[in-house]
Amino acid sequence: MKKYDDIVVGSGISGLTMALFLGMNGRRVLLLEKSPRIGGSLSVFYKNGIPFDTGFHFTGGLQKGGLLYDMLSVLGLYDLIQPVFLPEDNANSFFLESENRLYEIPYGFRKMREKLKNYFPPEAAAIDKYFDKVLKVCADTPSMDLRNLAVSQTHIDEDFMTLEEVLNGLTDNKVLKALLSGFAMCYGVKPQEITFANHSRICLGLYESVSRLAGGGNALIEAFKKRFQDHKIEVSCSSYIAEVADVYNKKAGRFVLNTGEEIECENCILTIHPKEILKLIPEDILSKAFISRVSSYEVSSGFFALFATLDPDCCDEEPDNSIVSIFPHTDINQMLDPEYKGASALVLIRTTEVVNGTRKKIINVLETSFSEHVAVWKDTRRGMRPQTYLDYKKERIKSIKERIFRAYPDYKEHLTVIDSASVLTFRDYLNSPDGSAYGIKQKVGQYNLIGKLPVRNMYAAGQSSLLPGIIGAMMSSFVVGRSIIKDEKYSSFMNRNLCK
Amino acid sequence: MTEKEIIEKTNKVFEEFFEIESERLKPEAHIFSDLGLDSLDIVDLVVALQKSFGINIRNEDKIRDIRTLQDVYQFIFLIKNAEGIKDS
Repeated sequence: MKKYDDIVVGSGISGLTMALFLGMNGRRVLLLEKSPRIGGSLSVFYKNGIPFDTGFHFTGGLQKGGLLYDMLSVLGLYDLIQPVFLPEDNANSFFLESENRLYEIPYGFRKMREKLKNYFPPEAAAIDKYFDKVLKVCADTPSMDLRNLAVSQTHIDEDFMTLEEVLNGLTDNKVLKALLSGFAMCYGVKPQEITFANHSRICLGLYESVSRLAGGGNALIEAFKKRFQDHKIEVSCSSYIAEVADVYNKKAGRFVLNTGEEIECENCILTIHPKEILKLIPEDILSKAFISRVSSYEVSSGFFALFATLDPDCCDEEPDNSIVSIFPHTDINQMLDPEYKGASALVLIRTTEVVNGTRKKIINVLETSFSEHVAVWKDTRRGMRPQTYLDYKKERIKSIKERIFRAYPDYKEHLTVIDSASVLTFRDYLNSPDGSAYGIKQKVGQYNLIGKLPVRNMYAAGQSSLLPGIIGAMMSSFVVGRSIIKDEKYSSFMNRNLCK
Repeated sequence: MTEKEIIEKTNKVFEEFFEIESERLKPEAHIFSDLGLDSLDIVDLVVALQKSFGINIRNEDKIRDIRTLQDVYQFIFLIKNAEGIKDS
């Protein structure tokens, strides 16, 4: 039987972070990944030689001193990647089809306030109050500081208010409210369901700066691989835990892999979907309370994606990297409702990459979508789906293209769709149980799975544990990692590696 | 909500969600040493109580002070009472 200090299950951004963090702290780590390669949603896929992002497109918090910058620096990853900051003044644009108007939103708190006040002069006070509130929530959340992360999250008042409630208390202006809640597409939960606190914590990074990585998520995966070598972290792909064995006094003694290999370790950290965690732990040791809690988690939104290119000579006045959200109207709740049948939110992510010496203009188009949209084909697998499914995709591609061309008539002759993906494609390609983009839905009054599980040497981390997205997923690994190596060691690790 | 209703509903949570026999559910019963929960079960208990009583429970010091079943009744009573005051 092989022995390790810790096994980490799942090699998305959270599992990669967890494995490296523990390895850097002198622990002998084995990282298990079900797929043939590591990286999860960070992965980039190539079609016709062109790289397309799958689950990681852009992020906030990568500026010096930002939370992501800090986490990557501490792990010795920052110097191995190359951030590409989107243009400050028009990183994010929102095109409202109902108004036929484009709103360009900069990043940086001062600039955002100014720009929004220019668009909505009578709402100046509401705009200031909104950003003040966001900043206050983040200041009141100890875990937003890497040195203060803790498994036990103390709630603040805003953890019990929805984004919608707060916005309704500030303004009646529907367009302004839609723009302020537009980043809901970055966490996949309705404004009437997400807490104002979590909305603020997620948006903080994106309000500070918006960037992507040169080479996309693959660049980060490569950086991790290099660091894994430095710290002798073992990785095993196409493997997963088939059985948690010898559970005694709520502790597992042995983990049996799908390969038949048996492993003994102190801790096992699961960075997989809570639904998969529930399947893995022997049922006889679970209380009904635990099962009911995990089963009641709902699904966040997913996307229907188009992977497209633009001709090199087209639309040169546009920035190389930028994000445009096309909203049919101002009702964000509706756009994030699985039952809603109308036109939904479309997010166009425009990037450039150099491929074999030539600059390529790439457009990733994401339209909000849900497993309900493809429920009839849920039992089918990639490459073997029926004609009705192919027709569904064709129809959806057509309607998305029409909407893009209405907003950007210049694209008509120059846009080529290379591939597309439905929620089912994401489910099967990225091993995400329901194909959602952000794990479970973060709702008011919800207690996520984080830290110790009912088998007490097993832990939960990942984007469903704390907050969705790359920052939240990485934070969850720091939180759980801290509880494993203990406070004292964590503090000295931070003192050594976090320069401020 | 009366105290009796709170006691009944709370006991039901322990019976249904933690499979503890009703005769063991005495107010003075210690939820850890007598009823066999551990500190990590508290989150599951809180979630079950939230669902059962239709309330939101904050993660705060008062939860960490809970020791006996009577403490749980008292804790719910305070939340329900505060709700009543807010509503009226």
